[in-house]
Amino acid sequence: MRHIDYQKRVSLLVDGALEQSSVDELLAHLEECAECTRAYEKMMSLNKALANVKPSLADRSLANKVKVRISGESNSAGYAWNFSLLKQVPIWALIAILAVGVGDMAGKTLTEALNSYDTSHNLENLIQDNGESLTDVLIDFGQSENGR
Amino acid sequence: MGRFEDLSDQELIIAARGGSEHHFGELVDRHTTLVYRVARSITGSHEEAEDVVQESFLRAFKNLDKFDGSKSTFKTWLLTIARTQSINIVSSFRRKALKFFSDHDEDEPELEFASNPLSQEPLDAETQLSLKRQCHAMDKALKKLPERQRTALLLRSQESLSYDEIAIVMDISVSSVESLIFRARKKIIELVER
Ligand SMILES: [Zn+2]
Repeated sequence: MRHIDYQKRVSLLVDGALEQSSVDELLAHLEECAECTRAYEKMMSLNKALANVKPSLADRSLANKVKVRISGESNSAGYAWNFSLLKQVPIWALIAILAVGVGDMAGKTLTEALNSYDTSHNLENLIQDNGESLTDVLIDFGQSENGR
Repeated sequence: MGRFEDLSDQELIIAARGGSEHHFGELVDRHTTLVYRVARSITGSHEEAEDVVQESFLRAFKNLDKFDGSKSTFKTWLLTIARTQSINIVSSFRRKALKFFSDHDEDEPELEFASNPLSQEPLDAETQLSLKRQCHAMDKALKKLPERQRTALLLRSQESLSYDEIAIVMDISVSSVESLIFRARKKIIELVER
């Protein structure tokens, strides 16, 4: 086995991830190899040094910010849940609500009720056509534009 | 605070799925620093790491019902989310454009280093300075590593994740984790000795 292969095992040994059978073989090699022993020592001290350069957070403010956002999120999820309640309202209840809402239809068929909803006077409010049809008004409008 | 200390992550998740944001809050308290460190090591930016922490927890909270405890721990699941978020930020066009027009690295606040186990005893000024130098040399060397090597190494050496856990977080095989960590160590030793 090459030195580099032993050093790969050294890296595993440092992490305590080397199988026992390989540990014995590696230790025997380290006994007689200065190069791999140096690699072992450097990797061990690197590990200690890395534990020292671990950035830490000065206070809990970041965790608190996260919790505020989660709280906001779960409140808005609460609205969604309330809305979904509507889907669970029994169908007969919705029919009852509709029946009350269209109570003034009493005695009329649906077609009668819709026909009686006269939209023509609304249109008259918008366009004072003095008895002319909507087409007449539009033609007049076009002519006066051209005449300018 | 501290009401849920005795509960495992799994127990907290069950309660959080039942609608308790306080239980989820305990998970936030437990893992914020870890997620921050991973995000910071990938993005190299304090501000971006803070954004990643917030987005990652928010995603985890929204997708809590998708978490499968038989496939991973909450910690590895959360780190997977955080790593993806961090990589997305780093590779975003907006980020590249910003980096191109102004180098923000200069404005980064100093890292707050974890306490040295030896620092129970007061350190003299000279030791403090040499420790600080060591930290900065190490930080500089870490930044020169490819992201995959750096993340694998830090998850192992700083966060004590097992090779199996790292493989889950990075979505690679255990033998790839071994190889990334080995190459990272060799490279850092080379860089620091230079
Ligand atoms: Zn050797």
